[in-house]
Amino acid sequence: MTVPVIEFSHVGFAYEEQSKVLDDVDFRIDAGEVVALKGPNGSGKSTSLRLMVGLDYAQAGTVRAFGSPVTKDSMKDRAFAKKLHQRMGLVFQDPECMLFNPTVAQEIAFGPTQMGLSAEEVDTRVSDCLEIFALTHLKQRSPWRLSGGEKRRCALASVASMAPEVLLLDEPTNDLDETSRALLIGFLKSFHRAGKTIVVSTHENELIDNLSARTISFL
Amino acid sequence: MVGPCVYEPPADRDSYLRKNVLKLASTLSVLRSEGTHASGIDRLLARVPSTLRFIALIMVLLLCSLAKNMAFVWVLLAIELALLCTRPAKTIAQIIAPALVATLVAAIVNLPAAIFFGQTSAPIRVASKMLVNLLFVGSYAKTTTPEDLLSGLSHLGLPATVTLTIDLTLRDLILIGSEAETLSEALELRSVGKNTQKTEGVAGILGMCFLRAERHARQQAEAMRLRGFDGTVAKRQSFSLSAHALVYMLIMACVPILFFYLEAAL
Repeated sequence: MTVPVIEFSHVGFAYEEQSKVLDDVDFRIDAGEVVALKGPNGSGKSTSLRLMVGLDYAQAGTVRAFGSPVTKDSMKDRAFAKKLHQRMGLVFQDPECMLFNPTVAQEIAFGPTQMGLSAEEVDTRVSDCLEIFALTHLKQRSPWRLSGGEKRRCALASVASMAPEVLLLDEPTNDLDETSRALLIGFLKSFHRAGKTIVVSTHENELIDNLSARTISFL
Repeated sequence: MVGPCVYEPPADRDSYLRKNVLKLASTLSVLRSEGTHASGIDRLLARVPSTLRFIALIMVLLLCSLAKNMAFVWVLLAIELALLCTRPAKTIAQIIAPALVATLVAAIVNLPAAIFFGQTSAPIRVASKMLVNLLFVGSYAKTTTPEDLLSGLSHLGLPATVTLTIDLTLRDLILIGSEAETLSEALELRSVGKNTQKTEGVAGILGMCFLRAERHARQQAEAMRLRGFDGTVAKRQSFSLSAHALVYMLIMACVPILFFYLEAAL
């Protein structure tokens, strides 16, 4: 039996002084799957994504990524944390929080540069991502000055340039017009065809159908 | 709730809103400047790397300050005035107004030297040099975005972590200004009655701005961590010279040549 990419075993989590967001949650996601976390606002979809990348930690049960537990202790190991963040890329619900570089090109280059890749490799990845996400004409623009849809594409490109094995997307279709939406779905399909894993948090049935995703329902 | 509503608003003033939060927001929005590229020359200058323009600016400021031959200063003034003429009237006013005020102050400060010690040329020399320098700085600031300026500084050896910190600070200031502006407008639209506790409205806006800024900063830090940031920024800078940059360098090389020629002729 292969090791699941992500595994939640009896996971419980609550934010301070609030009722439980996650209570005894169990699921597994295998490599190459497209999975949609579906549910109403506040049902714990975004929290689950945060637990997967170690931004928060399960208060009960275990979260495993690539077979290793994601805990406060394991994330103290910087090599482990960096490797996990390279293998698992998260695109936030609010793309503005992810954009902090002077230009779109530098924004996309940030992750690969931090990974210590060669300048040539970084340039190749940047130009590929600019093309895929139709951002080439905006490469010298400040990400801060982009429109809502362009910001979301830029945020996605900045994560995709790190070539993660698993892409986690939190409400990825918010603020997107029809063109950007088609572009996003096209990218996700080709990402999946490359044998990679996609986890989408959404309440949109159309997106789930488009991606033919397995659904995990949050109540 | 759905029936007709006859409402006569009581008289009230909302200047407290305009003079506090909206004023603060509009001040911060200055940082949002995209740089003016209204004239053909500015559009050409925009293609020159900001690093080169920054170095050229520093060189012009230094040479202008060192010049003993005023002919050099007049030539620079003529060049800057010619460049100014290509810009829209509003931009000209935005560049000239602060420069003239500072020049006037400099002239007044130097006036006693002229009156009591007979140094009649001192106020003119200092004021002229100040005017030229401020016009050049004003033009650079008006045609350059803060991001370009930071990019220029990073090429000049400023650590990437420092430029990132300055850049994030600028951005967050703009964001807070923008949030304050939006919240103030929302409050203004709903302030249709008489408010006897105006300070509470302003405090609410500032409190909300603080909370949003805190949330934004936290999420940004998380996003940075997820992309491999651990307190240091790996350096990756390529600096290529375009045809525009070469032409610009050739033109700017004439400035020190002119400086030394005129100084020698003195």
